Amino acid sequence: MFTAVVLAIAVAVGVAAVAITWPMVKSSFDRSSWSSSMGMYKVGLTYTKNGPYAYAQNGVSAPLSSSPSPVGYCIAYKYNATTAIYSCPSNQPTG
Amino acid sequence: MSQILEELIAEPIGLVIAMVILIAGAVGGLYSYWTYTNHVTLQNYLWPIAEVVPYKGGYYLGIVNTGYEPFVVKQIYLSGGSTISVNTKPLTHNQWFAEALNSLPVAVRVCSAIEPSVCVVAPVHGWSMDEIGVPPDAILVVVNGSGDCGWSLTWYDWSGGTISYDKDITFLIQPVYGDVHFILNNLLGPSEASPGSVAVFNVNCPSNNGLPPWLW
Repeated sequence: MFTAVVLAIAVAVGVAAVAITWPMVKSSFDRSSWSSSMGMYKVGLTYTKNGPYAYAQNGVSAPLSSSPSPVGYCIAYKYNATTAIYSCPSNQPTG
Repeated sequence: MSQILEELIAEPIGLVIAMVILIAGAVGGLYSYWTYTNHVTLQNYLWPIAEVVPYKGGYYLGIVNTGYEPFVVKQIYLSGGSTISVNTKPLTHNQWFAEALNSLPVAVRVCSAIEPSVCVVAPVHGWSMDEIGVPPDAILVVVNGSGDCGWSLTWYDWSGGTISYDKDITFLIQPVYGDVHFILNNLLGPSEASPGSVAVFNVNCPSNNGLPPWLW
């Protein structure tokens, strides 16, 4: 009797542990997927008839001004007439 | 010991006590584990991105929430080892926090707006400097260093036009599918350019013998 109850509790604990663990495992996969997608997130810079534009991923674009502003998940600004400075999730960390 | 246990569980009351102890231990253990997994799960869903660019002799730091768990920015770690404490409003999906700094930031610490004890440290991404691309069917014209005189630029061949001005200007000649030639007035620069390239001109005012512009 005692052994049967102990076995039942062990099974219940095992099932509960798996159920509790699953969201954590899924969140680890989601984080890994997010991290790799951010590692590829870049911005393109090109001139148009309306001036210089920055094109980030997912179709996000914005005109380049002379002060830093967000373009998608990047920050970009026009440094001079032909060059721009930008920082994106795919850039190397500073530290 | 096992004899005592056997005698204990042989009695109904002993069995009940043993069961209660076992179940309490199991529930307590599961609760601790659940608390831990909740903490890690929430941590895994904090998705801050921090970026920095140099600007006006200092640095411009931007932090964006790319996830759906709201967070607040608590600390900014600087390259010298010092930290700046901040306490922003909760940033939700796609919301930015920006700060101008004198020192280079290397990392930021953000904490969940729902459970403030759950925090992550995110590295700050650095910057790149790139040429702004010119479309393949265009020529980018840049006029620099406007002085005290006006200038004019005429282009012909695949595309034709003229511009007179007295300030710096950047514009596209578009569309153009072959080389264009330039006629320069008070400008120094190339005499021709190809599609997809940049033509840079510098203003070159004629000598005025010290006279003011209205007497040239």
